[in-house]
Amino acid sequence: MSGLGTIFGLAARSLWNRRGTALLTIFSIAVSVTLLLGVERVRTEARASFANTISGTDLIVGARSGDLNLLLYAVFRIGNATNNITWQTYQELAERREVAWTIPLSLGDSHRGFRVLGTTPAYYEHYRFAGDRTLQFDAGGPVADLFDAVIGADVARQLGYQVGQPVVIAHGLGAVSFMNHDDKPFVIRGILKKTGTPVDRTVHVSLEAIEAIHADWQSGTRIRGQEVSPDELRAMDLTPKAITAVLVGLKSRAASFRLQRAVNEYPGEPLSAIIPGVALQQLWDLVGVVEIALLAISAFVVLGGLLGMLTAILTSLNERRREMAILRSVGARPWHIFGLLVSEAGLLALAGVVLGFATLYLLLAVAAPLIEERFGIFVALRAPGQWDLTIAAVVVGAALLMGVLPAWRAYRNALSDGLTIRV
Amino acid sequence: MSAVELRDVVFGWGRGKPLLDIARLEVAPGERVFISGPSGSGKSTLLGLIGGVLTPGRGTVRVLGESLGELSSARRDALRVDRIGFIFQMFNLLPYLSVRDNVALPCRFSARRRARALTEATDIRTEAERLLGHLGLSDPALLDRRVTELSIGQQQRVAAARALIGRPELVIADEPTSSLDADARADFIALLMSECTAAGSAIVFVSHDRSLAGQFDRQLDLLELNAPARPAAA
Repeated sequence: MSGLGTIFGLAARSLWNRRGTALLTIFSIAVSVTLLLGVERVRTEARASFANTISGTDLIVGARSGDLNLLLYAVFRIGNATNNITWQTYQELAERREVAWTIPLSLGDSHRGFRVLGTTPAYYEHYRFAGDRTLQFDAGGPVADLFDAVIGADVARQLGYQVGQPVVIAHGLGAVSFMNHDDKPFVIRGILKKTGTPVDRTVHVSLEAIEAIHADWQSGTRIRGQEVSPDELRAMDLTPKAITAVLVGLKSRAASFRLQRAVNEYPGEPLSAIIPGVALQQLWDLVGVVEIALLAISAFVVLGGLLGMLTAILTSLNERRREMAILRSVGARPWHIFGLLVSEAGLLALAGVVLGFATLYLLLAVAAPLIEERFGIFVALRAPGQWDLTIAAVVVGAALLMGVLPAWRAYRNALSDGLTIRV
Repeated sequence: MSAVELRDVVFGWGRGKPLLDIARLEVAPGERVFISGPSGSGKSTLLGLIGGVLTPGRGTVRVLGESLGELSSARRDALRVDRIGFIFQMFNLLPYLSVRDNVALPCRFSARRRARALTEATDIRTEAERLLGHLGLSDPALLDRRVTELSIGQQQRVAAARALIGRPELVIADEPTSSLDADARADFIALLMSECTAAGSAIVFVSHDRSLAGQFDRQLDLLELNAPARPAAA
């Protein structure tokens, strides 16, 4: 009858009266909940971000290597190619009946820490990401001249580049290069719109440009006295001898597996072909163990937070015997005392969970741009989902369950102490 | 029907000589009884027996017509909540509730007390304020203050108002004046008595301070009442 509401109100006010220690308990639960939710959030967002990076491509072809390695360097610009594909092999592939389009990729150079990608106009036409989105220009247009460059949104923002500005492309991959191709100045021709993918962090040039900047280089070092001027370069035959990888679009997706087998068995040179979705799945299988480990650690941190709460409530019991006895003397039944302590645990956990969610969103709002910048992972701020609400319910439920222990002790105390207070 | 009736009640903690052995004790409805005895003479134990918190080894305790030994613990709880008001020596009030909320507490746990309080006033707040006013705590600023900001004398008057809300038939007071100074003590007793009379409540008032005894209908000495304490029985 008059029970539950009264008890709940009393629990809240009793907690408020001890808000110093109560707040500490709430903080420790909040921190653990933030961690657990955050790990899961970053995990799913990272997956979504990776999955959004490439779409519409049916096969990725590169020199013979592990599937993951090929996926990582060709699409995510992580790691390096083990070997190249000859231009002739590429052309044979591109001319196959089932192939609708190809995007040749030539990697290996960098510009102030950003990867340089040599490619063809097919890239701007056929590359798809996040479903069916195409690359759009924020300013300028595609590569037209041998020394034109198109840069991603992050490159433009971080380096402050404008269309028309001359830049120097370096050989190798370091942020600071000791060997600059400083005699071949490129000009920024276009800036791409933000995509939330590694494209944002890439400097695009033509395949011929990659060939040109290496024209007077052999085995990675410059040959003295053989410098070639830009005008001489324009006159040269700059057909590439090799490329790093190829993105392939097919006329019919059903042909993917057949072509994949054909590429893998290609007699001319050792090649690998991967289907992006399948390779991504391999990646998830690989990192799945780490994810589970992280989740398990976070779950234990939550358990630690709840145990801290349990300790706090149990320690408070003795000094609160007076409070319990007063309640008994004004008519609280032993089960009221029981309910008081269980609702106290529930209230602490609930406040902890709410604060945990608030902290998570605050952190995500602050950290999302940093994560995107450093790792190219786009973390969207979305409303709590099924998983988040389940976690919230489990934490509060576990707290209520734990609250039974101090509640039982207070119940026993209430029965034995009666109305007199023996402290 | 007596307010309190003890017959051949024996109570002891563990084995050995019992602490209490009372052949007969009766309190009539509305009667105001003062029970004196030095500390350690079993005053609190006696109140525990009447309150139904302790169960005697032998004998019967009847409170307001109910034989406590025959009631389940839930029924004893209900009897205590619905029909008895308690005032203790100190630490009576919950520090996290306002004065007014402290007084209203019994009405939250007992529908009977609530119903009876509402025959006096239109709502519990008003009734709590009325009782506090009668006990000399009518300052409105005081009502919403935290109880820890009150003097001990004021706190005990709040405790009395709480014991009296909803007109319980029996009020049990355990040394409620021992932390008050002499003037406050006399005031407090006078207010308590007149309110008990107004509510029609019997009062069992236990104290070691015999100087208060004169204001009661009847005075009992626990040393005489209790067989193990009597010199003749030793």
